[in-house]
Amino acid sequence: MLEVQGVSKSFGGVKALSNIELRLEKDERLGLIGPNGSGKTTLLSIIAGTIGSDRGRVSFKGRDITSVSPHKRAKMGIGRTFQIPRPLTSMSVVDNVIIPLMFIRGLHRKELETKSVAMNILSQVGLSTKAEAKPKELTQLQLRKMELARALAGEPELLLLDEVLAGLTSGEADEVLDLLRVLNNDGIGIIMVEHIMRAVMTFSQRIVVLDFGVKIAEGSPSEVSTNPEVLKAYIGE
Amino acid sequence: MAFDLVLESIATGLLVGGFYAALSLGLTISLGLTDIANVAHPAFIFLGAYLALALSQAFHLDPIVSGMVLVLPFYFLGNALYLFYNRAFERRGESSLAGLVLFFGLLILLEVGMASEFGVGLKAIYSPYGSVALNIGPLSLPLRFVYSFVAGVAAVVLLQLFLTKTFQGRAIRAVAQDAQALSLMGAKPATVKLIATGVSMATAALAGGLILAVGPISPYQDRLLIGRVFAVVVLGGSGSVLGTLLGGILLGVSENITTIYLGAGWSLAVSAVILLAVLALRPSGILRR
Amino acid sequence: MKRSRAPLYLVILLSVGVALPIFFKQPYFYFASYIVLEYIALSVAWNLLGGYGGYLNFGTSAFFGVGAYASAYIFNSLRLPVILAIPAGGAMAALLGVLIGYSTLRLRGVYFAIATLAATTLVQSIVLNTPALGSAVGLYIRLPPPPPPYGNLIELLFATLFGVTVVSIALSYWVENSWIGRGLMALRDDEEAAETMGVPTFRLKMFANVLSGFLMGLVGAFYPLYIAYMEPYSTFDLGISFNVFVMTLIGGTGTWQGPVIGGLILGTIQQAASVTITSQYNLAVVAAAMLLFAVLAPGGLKGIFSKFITSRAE
Repeated sequence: MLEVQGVSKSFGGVKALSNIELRLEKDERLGLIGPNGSGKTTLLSIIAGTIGSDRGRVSFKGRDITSVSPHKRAKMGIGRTFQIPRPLTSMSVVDNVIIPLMFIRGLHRKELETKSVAMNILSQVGLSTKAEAKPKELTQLQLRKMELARALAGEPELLLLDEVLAGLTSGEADEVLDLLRVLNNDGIGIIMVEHIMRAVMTFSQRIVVLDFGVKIAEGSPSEVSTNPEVLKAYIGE
Repeated sequence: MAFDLVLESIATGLLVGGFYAALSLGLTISLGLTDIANVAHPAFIFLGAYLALALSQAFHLDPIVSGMVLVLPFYFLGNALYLFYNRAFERRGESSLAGLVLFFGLLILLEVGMASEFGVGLKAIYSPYGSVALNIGPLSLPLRFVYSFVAGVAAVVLLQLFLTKTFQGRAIRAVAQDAQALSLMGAKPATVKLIATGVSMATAALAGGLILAVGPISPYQDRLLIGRVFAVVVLGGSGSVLGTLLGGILLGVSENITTIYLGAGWSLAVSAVILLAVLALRPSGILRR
Repeated sequence: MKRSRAPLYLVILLSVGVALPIFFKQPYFYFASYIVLEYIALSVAWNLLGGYGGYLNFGTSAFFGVGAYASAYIFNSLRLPVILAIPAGGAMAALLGVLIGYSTLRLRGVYFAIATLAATTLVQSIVLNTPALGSAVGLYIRLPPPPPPYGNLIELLFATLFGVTVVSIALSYWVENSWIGRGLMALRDDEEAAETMGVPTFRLKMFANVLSGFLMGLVGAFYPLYIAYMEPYSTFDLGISFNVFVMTLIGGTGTWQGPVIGGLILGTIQQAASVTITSQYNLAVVAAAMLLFAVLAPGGLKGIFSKFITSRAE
């Protein structure tokens, strides 16, 4: 479903990504890990379209989307959450969710109908009680759930998660992981960037490891966790 | 078109370019490195020019020297400006767009202040080289432009050295790219921006002295600078000091060539056209990748 | 159901504006309130992109002036009917909006702001260098006689501008409550996040910018008829841009009521005090007021009013 070929990106003099190859099959759960600064968020942003790559190609569902703008990619079925939640601060939680409903699903007209769809999504993630609240009143966990709800509103086929579990208690993290498993069961492919090893290792079917912008390992969780290159990258010499 | 005229045009354009570069240094630092859109920068330059005028009249100083004297006080002025900006906007998490409000207001206030304090008429300072020209072959180069060119280039070089060789300078460049790298260096972003804004304002002082050296001043002339300064910054790449020199020269030469073919009235249009064209095609400028 | 009554309000309001000058004969009132109407309309137009979208246009006078000079050239120099000149003024300003928009709306907001600032000087220098537009000397406008029942030209101008203002407000109301407005507000809050939610940010910004520019040019197109003698320094004055900006800020950005309140209050105060826009005293006071509001009350007067209402309700 997703193919990333030969993607490289530099910022000023710093090479963030070098010649990255990545594939994702439909419904797959891929974990993307690596030490800080390894380029994981950059890669997600390139797939989502908010950053352009210097070289390389990104294809989605057989189409070359390398120069396609982010909002069009969202309409094609790519959803993403941000490392630090980025709520639309002037709008209530439910209005936040209504935006992708309007613009990705095209539900412009019937206001009541759109709102009930939004409420539906909010109950899926467990935010129904906070529907009319403003983002500044939400806890970290609730903000992340809202990010997720917004991504879901677009009916994505590919979900890009950037450290969606960061800062959550272990109970809260489990809550989110269960939700993600349900979504994956419904047919959504997931690329999860994470630092919380326990979570990403148990959740993912396949792992890709980046270090300093280069892919250093790929395989099943057990293969990767015993890979000496990976251990060296994390623990150092 | 007489070859001599074109050649002189290009040569003068080069000199003016160095002058424009000096005027734009402050903005390239502030916009490019600290992400503070100080649209009032041209007004501050004129503030510097008027203060330099007062100094020159009181102490019989050369205008460029007066400008240099004002560098340190303006550095502190820049610090004060940053502190206010930080308290009023940055702390609140407002986007840099909200800060534009502040600077637009400052632009108007400064203009009005200068107009009521110094009057709207043209004011000039007499300097011994004011009407003297340097004659090199067929070219006649006004000395005041030569001196401001030299001062401008010197400022560019000094600033470049500051940004590449000193700790504070490298910190300023780092704060633009990576807050993490900055903290690894052991510097706080707010302190770095404080210094950067100070440096930016300090260049305005020198620029004010150059403006005074080059010709008579009046408070609303800053509007003639706005388009030019931004054109230079955008041409050279926001944040690149050397790029500013290149951009300034490109602008200066283009303006002069336009003047001899279309007349002086169109020279202002050149910077606007360049600005829009560069923004439309290569927003990262010529020197920056 | 509020929505079905809105067209009725509109018609009533328009009728009032059109009929008033027929019955109430007081030229000074119309001369003064014309300026206030101008500012309300300009502020409402400004708010479309500035308040809803968060992209600040510092070159209102450029759009206004383009409309004014285009209109003047068409009916004054080309001797074509005024009825053609007015929309042409709007169209020219819209074109300016397209030009600036294409160059800068894909970039961060600060570049748009700068470009609009530079555009003012550019357009002004074009006029200064074009003898057909009067250069620095200015243009003397041949004023057409007003059709009855209006006795004075100013009465007709008032009525027409009143109509334009009401229509602008209606447009603003419509945009605010439509998907366009929602998209603009989303991108104002967080442009990158909005894109990932499917909001076509560039297209929406262009729409708001071009509509805003068109309305500003439309308002400007009437100006030559009002002022009778037009020159580039006061037409393109930065003070106009600044005034519009402050009025919207004080009244409250992001709502259709804000610019109306701000324009009405600040405009009336300036007229009552008989201060000209460019007078130094006026500018300084306005600038200070703006800074105060920006720092202390970012929601403007409307925000204060809303907070008052909600705190009362608790």
